[in-house]
Amino acid sequence: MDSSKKTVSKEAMQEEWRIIQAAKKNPAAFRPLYDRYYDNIFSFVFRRTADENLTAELVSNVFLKALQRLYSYEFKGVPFSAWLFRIASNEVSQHFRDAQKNRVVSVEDSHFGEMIEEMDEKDHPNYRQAMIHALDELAEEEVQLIEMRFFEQRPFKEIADIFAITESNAKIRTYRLLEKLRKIILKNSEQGQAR
Amino acid sequence: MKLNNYNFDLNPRKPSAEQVNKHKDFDALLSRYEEESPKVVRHPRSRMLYVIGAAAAAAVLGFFFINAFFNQNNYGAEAEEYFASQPYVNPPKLNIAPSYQKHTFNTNKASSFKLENGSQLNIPQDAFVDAQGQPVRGSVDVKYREFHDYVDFFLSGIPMEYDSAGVRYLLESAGMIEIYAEKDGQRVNIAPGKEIKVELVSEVLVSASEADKAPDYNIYVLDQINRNWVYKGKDAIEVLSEERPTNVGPEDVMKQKYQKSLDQIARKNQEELAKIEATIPVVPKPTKPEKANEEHPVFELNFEDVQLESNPTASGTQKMVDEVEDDLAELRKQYANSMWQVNPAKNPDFNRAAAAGIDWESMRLKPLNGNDFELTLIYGDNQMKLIVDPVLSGTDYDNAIEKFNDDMKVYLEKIAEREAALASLKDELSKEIQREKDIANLEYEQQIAAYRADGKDYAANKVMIRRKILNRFTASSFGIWNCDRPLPPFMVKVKGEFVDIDRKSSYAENTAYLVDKSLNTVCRYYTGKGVEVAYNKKSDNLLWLLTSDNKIAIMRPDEFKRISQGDGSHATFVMDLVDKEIKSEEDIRKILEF
Repeated sequence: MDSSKKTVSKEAMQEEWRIIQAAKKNPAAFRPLYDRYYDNIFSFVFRRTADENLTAELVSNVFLKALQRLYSYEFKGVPFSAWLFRIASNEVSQHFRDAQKNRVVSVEDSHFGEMIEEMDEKDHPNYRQAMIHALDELAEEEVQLIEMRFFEQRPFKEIADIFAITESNAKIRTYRLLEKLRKIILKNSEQGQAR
Repeated sequence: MKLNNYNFDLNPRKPSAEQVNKHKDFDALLSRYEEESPKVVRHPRSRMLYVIGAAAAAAVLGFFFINAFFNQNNYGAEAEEYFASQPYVNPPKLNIAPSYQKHTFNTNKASSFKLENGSQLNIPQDAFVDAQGQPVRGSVDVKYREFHDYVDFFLSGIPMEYDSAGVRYLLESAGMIEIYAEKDGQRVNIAPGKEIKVELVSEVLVSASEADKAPDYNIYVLDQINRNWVYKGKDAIEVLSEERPTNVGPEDVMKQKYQKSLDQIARKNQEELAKIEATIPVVPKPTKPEKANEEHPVFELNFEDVQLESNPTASGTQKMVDEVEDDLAELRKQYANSMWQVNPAKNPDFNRAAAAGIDWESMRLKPLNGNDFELTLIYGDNQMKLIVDPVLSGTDYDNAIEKFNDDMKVYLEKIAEREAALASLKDELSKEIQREKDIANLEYEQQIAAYRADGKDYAANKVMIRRKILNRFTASSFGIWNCDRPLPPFMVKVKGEFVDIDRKSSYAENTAYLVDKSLNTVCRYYTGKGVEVAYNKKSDNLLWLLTSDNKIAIMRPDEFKRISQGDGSHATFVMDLVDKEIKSEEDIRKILEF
C-alpha cells in the first residue's frame, strides 16, 4: 500500500474538528483543510474525468458544497477527507449523469496485475482484456469499490470511512466483487467459445 | 477504451503539480461561496424566537463559562495591547540584521541583479517614479536583502502572523525578501504597470512522505499600515536540487517488513496452489479439427517416413526413444486421415512448384503452438521448412467434428469434476492465505499505530528532505515580500509564565519567540503572566527572549518537553540566561542552534 495513503491519527482528526468548528462560524477558517486536501481531491476527480478543466470545475464544486454543508457536518470519528471524497464521488457521478456520458476509470498496469494476483488468476494480456470487459458490467458503486481498493490503493479502513460502512464489510464486499468478476469473465469466455 | 458503461483509461497520465496548483485558489472559492450561498433572511418572529432561545442558552451556560471567557479575553487583550504598542516590524535592539545588497543602475535600460546564492532581480526600463509620481531618470540604487530561516526572521523583527478574515494563522516561509530603491538618498516607488521579477533561491525541508507533492506556497506582501500580510497569488516554485538522507525512517522499515511478509504469503500461495493442482492431472483439451481449404496446397504424409521432433521428458536413451515412439503412434492415430496444409500466410516464401518437383526422401515433424507443426522436407543436403496444419475434408471432417463435440462434452465434464474436487482445497487455501494476510496487515497497522501513538508521526521525527528551490514571483511595490503558506493553529495551548532559572523573577512585558523545529517560522508571544502559548508538543521547540540588557534567556527543546503538556494547563517556562554579550549574527546563531 502506498505510504502516502495513511489512515489519519486520532489527534489529527481532533485537530481537523477544531478547524471545522471554527470554519462553521467563519468560512475563511476552512483554508487549512482546503490546502490540505485540494491535491488529493483533484487527483481523485482527475482519475475519473481525465480532463483538467472539468476536474478543476468539479473540484471547485466539491469544496463549495463542503463549505455550504459544513453546518451539518458532525464529527463521527472518521477523517474529514472521507466526507470530502464522498461529496467528490457524488459530484462526478452527477456530472456524468447530467451529461449522459460515460465516466472514466483509470487503471495502471501494475495495479491491474496486483488485482489479478489477488484473484489468484494468471496474469495475461487476454485476461486483462477480459477483466476490463467484466468491470464494464459492474454497477457504479461496485466499480468505485474496486478502483478505490486496487487502482488507488486505499486501505480498507479509508474505503470503509468513505462508504460509511465497517472495515470488515468493505473487505467482504471487495472479495465478493472479485468473485463476481471471476464469474463474469468465465461466462464471457464460454459465450465467446460457443460463438 | 470505450465500452458500454465506462471509458477505461489505461496507464493514465497524472496531472502535474503546475496543473493542480493553477486551479487551487481558496480566496476565489471563498468569493464564490459568498456569492452563491443562499443568504439567510429570518422572519421577524423566528428571529425573536432565535434571540430568546440563544439568550436562554446563554443564561444556562453563562454561569459555567463566563469567568473563563473573560479571563481568556483578558489574556488575549493584554497581548493584543502589548503588540499594538510595538512597531509592527520590530527587530530586537541588537543592531544585527541581514544586510542589504546594493545594485546601482541606470533606469533608461532594463537591468538584472544577480546575487551570489543565485537569486536574481529583473528590473524593467523606466521602472520607478518619485513621491510625486514623476518618472525617475538616471542612476538609482536598489537595496535588497533576503531572510531564510528563524534566526533571520527573529533578527528582522518581521511578524509571521497572518490574519485572514478574522482567523489568525502562522505563516511558514520558503523565503522572504525586502526590497526598496533610492535616487540620491530619496525613496522612490515602482511605476504603475511596472513589476520587478524576483527569482529567490531558498531552501525548504520536506517530509519524505510528502516528497512527491509539489511545494505549495503563496506570495504575500507586508502591509505595514494595516499591520497584516496581503495575499498576492501563488508562488511559482522550481525545485533546483534536493538532498535525500540515505537512512530510511522507522515507518519505512515497518513497511518493508510488511511487504516482505506479503511476498512470502504470495509465494506460499503459489506453491500450495501448484500442489493442489498436481493432485488431479489436467485432462488434455480436444483439438478442434480444421477443414481443408481448397485454395491451399496440402501434403499427405506417410508416417513411416516421418521423424518426430519432440521434447521427451524421460531420462535415459531407451526411455526417450520409447516416448518418441509413443508420441508418433499417438500422432499417427490422431492424424490418420489428415492432410497437412500449407497456409501461405504462415509461409510467405513457399514455392509450390519447387516443393512439388522434388521426390523428398524423408520428413521431420515438430509440433509447435496450437495446431501448427513445423514440417521439414529432406532430400540429400536440401531441406525445405514449412509451417503446416493438419486438416480434414469431406466425411473425415464431418466425423471428426462430431467426435470433437463428443470429446468436448466429456472434457468439460471432467474439467468441472476436477474443479469441484479441487474447489474445497483451493477455498481452504484461499481462506488460510487471507487469514495470513489479515494477520500481517493487522501487525503492520498495530506497529504503525503504536509508533504514531507515541507521538512520532510528526514531521520533526520523519525523514526530512532538504530542497533547494527557486521561488518566482513579481513585486509590484517595494517592501517585504514573503513566499509562505498559512499553518493551522497548534493543538496544545497552555497558560504560560516566563521566569528566570531561579524562579525568583519573571520576564513580564517582553516578547518571547518560539520555533518548532519542523517548521520554518517564528511565533511571537507576549510574556505577561497567564498568556496563552500554543505549540506542537510532538516536535522539538526552542523558546527564547531578549532580556533588557540584550542577552538571550532560553529554554531548550529537552527542557521544553518537561513542561506541563496538557491543553489548557498552566506551564512555567524557566528561561536559562546565556550570560554572553551578543556582537554578531554568528553569536546569535550559536546560541539559538538546535
